[in-house]
Amino acid sequence: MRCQACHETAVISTSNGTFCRRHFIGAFERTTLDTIETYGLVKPTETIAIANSGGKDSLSLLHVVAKYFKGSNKLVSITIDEGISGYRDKTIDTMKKYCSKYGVEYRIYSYKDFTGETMDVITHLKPGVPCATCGVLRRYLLNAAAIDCGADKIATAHNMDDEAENVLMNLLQNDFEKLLRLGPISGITSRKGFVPRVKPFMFLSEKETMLFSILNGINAEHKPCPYAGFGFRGVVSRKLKELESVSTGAKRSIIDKMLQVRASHGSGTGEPHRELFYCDICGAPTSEEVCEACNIKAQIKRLKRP
Amino acid sequence: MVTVRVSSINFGEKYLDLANGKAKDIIDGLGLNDDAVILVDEGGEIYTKDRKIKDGSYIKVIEVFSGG
Repeated sequence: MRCQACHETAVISTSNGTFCRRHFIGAFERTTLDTIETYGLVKPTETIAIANSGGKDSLSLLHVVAKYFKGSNKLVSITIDEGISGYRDKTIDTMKKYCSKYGVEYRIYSYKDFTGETMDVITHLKPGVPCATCGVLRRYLLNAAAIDCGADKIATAHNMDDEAENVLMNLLQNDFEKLLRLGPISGITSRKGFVPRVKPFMFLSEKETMLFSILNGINAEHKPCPYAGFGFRGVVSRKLKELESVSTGAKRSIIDKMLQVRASHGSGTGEPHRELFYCDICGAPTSEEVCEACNIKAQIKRLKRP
Repeated sequence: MVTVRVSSINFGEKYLDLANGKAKDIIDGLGLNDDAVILVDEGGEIYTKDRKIKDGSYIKVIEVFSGG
């Protein structure tokens, strides 16, 4: 395969094009900046919290955001430490190294501080798939951390694969409301207590993101979460990659269709139709009297009792 | 016939005979998916599936996954 821009030997061929090393890096950064500009993800002077696990996706995001927005925006790197030994402790070391390299302030918030236990312990205490609990706690802490940092937006490294998986999972679980909340700006954007999440990598695949990190010498641990295979997402992810390899552009089509459906429903912003309350315990916005994160915290406390 | 040494975090190291001498033979031979792997040699050269691989090469199979 030859690069579509210069006919040098290609390093990748995806629905975004076929590129050599040099043109791939340029195309990757251009797609990121186009997404930010087209959807108004970052405005000048806003404080941007970069959700940074220390893995290849978030370090690539830190690389691009620091390169193009450090001069115009305040940047803060936020890491949620789930407490997964042999995994998160390693990526936190990597995260610190790269934040120092790019001159970006970092803050770490942990499940242990919030619930009293690490994810390793929670996995043993609490029945069911760990990813479901972990997802609730991570989203909750990320939002709380962004508020704590005074951030206007949370930039996450969600890529095309993540987003297409979300669409399929919501369809398969018949959750249309959640599906409408997806997109380049997600979460609830207009309510007090929510910091909008933006996805500059939404039109770049997981393979492209990983290759970008490799070609930029981003020395992240290329190792998946030890609990990742347990979730429904793992199954959907594998099937989606199979679909993409027999039909290039399948993931992009899924996302484009989701954006069309979203635009044709209501305001197209993904705002929920349900009434929102504020959690009786922590004060965070919620659709129930007590938010899901506080329910989990209470459940963990109960399960710890002898 | 081209023989290469391949390694990945999932299966460790093994030798593979490549019928057509191409990167695609590694992907197919290991039952992998082109959208889910990146093949790279010792010199950091990236191999798309159509590229020929020299006999005796050492190829690292980097599996693409979410998160980190």
